[in-house]
Amino acid sequence: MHIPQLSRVEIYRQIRVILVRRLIDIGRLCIVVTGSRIHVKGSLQFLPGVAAAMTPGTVQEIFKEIRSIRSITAVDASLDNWMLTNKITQTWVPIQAAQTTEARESAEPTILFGCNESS
Amino acid sequence: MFREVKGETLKRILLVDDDVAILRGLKPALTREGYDVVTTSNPTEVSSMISRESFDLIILDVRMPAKSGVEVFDELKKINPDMRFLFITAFLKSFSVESNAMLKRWQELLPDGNTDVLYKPFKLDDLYLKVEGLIGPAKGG
Repeated sequence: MHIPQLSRVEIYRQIRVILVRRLIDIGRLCIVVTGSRIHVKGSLQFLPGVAAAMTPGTVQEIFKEIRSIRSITAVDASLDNWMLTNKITQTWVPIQAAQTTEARESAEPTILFGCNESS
Repeated sequence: MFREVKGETLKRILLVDDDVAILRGLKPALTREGYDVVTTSNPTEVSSMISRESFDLIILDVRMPAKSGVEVFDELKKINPDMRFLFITAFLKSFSVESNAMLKRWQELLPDGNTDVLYKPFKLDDLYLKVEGLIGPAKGG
């Protein structure tokens, strides 16, 4: 039986559904869908007020769920605060906050919108 | 009413922000990407605009003095539950001052996956990614 491929917009939507259900702050993530591959960048963290701590197991579960979206064959990530150290075992480790800030500041000298906003 | 390029109808975006400088900056940026962009700095007129015209995406500032982006969102969702939204805000707490209330509101607003959030300040590339993730590229997609 032929299972139709999901449109890119539908894949994006399903990813957002997963992240919101898991109380992830989607404002800190950017997702890129290219063909059947998903790339996630930014910072993976819970919303303020979530009592649970983000653990390697939580990160693993989130990516497992994203990988299970139909039409998706691969998911990779370049996160500011988590690093995949073993692709086979899907082992994630947190990256130190200090390293993260330093890396971001040196990597993104671009025009920013809304810098003087108070809203 | 709908702009066409080479016979294709462009995807339409309504950009709502009380800060005219943001509107002036973002409209040409999104137009360059191929979207048909309409702007307003008055959130109280959004409902009437929606009843007259069709939009694929509403980009909303959260904190606006006349009416908050969340109030506009609530109104428009009643008119069209499938409408796509991108909230632009400086503070996550703009959704609510209490983090517990904010969590609840977040789950009420976003579970269908038709809404995304972008924090100020942001890079245009991140805006383009968010917009494309919600409605696809300007033409087709």
